[in-house]
Amino acid sequence: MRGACISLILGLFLPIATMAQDNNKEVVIGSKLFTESVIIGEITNQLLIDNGYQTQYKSQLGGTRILWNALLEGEIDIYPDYTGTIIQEILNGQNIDSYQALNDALKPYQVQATKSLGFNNSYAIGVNKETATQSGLKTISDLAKHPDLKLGFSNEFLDRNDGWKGLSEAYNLPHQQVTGLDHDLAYRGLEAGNIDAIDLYSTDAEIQYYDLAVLEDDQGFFPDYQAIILYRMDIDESMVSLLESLEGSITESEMVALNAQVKLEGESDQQVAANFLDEKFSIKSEVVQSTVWSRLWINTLGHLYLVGISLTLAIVVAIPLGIAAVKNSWLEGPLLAFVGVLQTIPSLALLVFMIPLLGIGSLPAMAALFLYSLLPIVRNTHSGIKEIPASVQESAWALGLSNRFILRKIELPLAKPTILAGIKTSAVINVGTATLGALIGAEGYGQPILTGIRLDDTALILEGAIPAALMALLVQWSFDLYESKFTN
Amino acid sequence: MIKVHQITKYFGAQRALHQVNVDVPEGSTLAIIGPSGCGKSTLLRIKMGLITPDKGEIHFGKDKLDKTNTDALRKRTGYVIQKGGLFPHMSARKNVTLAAQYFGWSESDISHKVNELSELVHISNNLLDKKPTQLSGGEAQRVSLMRALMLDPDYILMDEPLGSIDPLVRNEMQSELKEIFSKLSKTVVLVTHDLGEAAYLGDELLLMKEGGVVQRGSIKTILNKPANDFVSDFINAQRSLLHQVEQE
Repeated sequence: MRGACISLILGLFLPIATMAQDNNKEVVIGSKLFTESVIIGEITNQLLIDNGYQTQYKSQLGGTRILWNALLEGEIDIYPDYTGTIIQEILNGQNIDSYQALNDALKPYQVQATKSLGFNNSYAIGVNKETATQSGLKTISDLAKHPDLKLGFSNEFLDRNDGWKGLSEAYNLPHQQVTGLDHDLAYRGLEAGNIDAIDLYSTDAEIQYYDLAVLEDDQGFFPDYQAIILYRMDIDESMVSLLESLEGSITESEMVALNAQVKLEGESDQQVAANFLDEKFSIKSEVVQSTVWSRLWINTLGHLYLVGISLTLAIVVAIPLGIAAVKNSWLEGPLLAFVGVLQTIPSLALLVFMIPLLGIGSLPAMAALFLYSLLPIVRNTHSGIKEIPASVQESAWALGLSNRFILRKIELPLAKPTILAGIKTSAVINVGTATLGALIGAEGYGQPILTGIRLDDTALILEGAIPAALMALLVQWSFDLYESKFTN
Repeated sequence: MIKVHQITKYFGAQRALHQVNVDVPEGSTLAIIGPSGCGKSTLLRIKMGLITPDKGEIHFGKDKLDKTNTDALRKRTGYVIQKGGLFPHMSARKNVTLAAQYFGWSESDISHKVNELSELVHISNNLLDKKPTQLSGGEAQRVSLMRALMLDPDYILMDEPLGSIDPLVRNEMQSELKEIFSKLSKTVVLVTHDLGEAAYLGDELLLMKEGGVVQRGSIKTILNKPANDFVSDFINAQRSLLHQVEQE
């Protein structure tokens, strides 16, 4: 049953996936979900465009796993990362002491890396100056003496070997109160006093802005995190030379400044990248500043595209499934349980599960939304038909009508209000959940929300959140209107 | 002729029918009567092929009811149930004509038949355009009867057709039904719990108890020669209280 369902879903989506891949021969650049990665990605993007390449930039996709897998699958060709991250997370802490050794280790994956772009962005632990003074915190070892401190770490840091897992072992840290939260929100938590210590990237502009004390890594736990660019070995050699031209071009203080321009001064990623290229490489690239309305229009189209296709497919699949559940008692329990279980998979997890099957972008998001939309429609189709009084059903049989005819003319019309209510529920949930699709690169209202969270920009968050809420209400109203008009 | 042969049906451990044999002669009306749970409705639904019996056979004329001919035999059988079972989303007219359209009747044949039937059951044309929820109980049963008669069936099976109709209308409809039965001279099986109705409409009565037949015969036989104490008790229970009050 499960196997059949999965192959059904694959059957529906794979043709679209292959179609989409054939159509773009442009080089695809990705970046992680934090500003520095987005800026370096943008610099790379503009550099390639200036040299005549067709590019597509999928910015703020997510964490290391998503980007690395996308690179292996050929969903993206290029993305910026850090030596320590790759060695610890991908190459399982092999003893790699040179760029040659790194590239030798990456070769089996058909991936290569540039040398350092010029700066080390290490992990660090930061606390408020007052906390540091009060508790006498200077080094990470000092943390062990204060087990009551509340720690708030980014989720990726929590899970990484070179993050909290390894750190707490290396320093024997006894803390029980450890929360996972978004890195950009962590600074706010620290400022508000909700948490006492957070993980930092050493090039974060906020360190200065919030005047934080950075605890010394006195046991030298954190490895080197030299910024590098990873690329697939199948890209042009001339493109590789371009990427290599970025080696050694950004110092640590320059990177802090670039981060500050975006995060603190409110410049756009594109503009900051353009200024950098102009200064260092005398490349003039044109930055088209999009207006709120043009973004709104594009995001609306993107969102409708996600919701429209996933919901339509869900309707086409779920109504027959609901009917099948009523008509076959052996199928009823397992099928309803199966679509119910689908619904309980956390949306983020489901989105990430889709990546190995369908890559990144709108397609896997659509597939996840499709799966989420099944339950309300299947369940309502099933109960809508099941609740038809037995007397009506028996009367229909007694007339000698075929089952097919009874289904079409009597059961489905009678179940229609219930089925519509199921579709309405799916549609409303779908509009909301679709914003999460941005985490794996899908279009729609999730994009401004994600950027807004990254830049701590409420206006930008609302630019996604308000239209998403309005769209959900609009969907609800149109269904209500339709119901009141046609079902009475 | 409808022939019920050795029909047995259990719902789990609950006996609904046990080795029941009934013949209904061509053109006659048999009224099945008995207390609630005696199996009379189950028997009717087995005849309609809505329930499969554990054992036994049903014959409509020469045809033995089985899976292959259920639909064909249903087409030759009109079925009316207590609350009509009308399709709530269709007009009364659509309810009546649906099966004829399904079986490919021409529009003129359909309208001809509808006119004939609406006259027979005393339903006016404008009532036919209403939805079932807008009809009174009596009207709904008339429409239900029209629907059952639409395909001109050889057999009519009715399960408490007047069970939920108020007494005045019920009385009126009883005499109408009698008239209709005699006009159409079809083979009719009528299930009811009302002895008076059974006596009035049935050529013969069949009294059932706990899934078996207790007595079969004309109303006179049953009144004068009750087969056992159960039959006498059943008759006495159904004698009108008014009758007793009058005698006192």
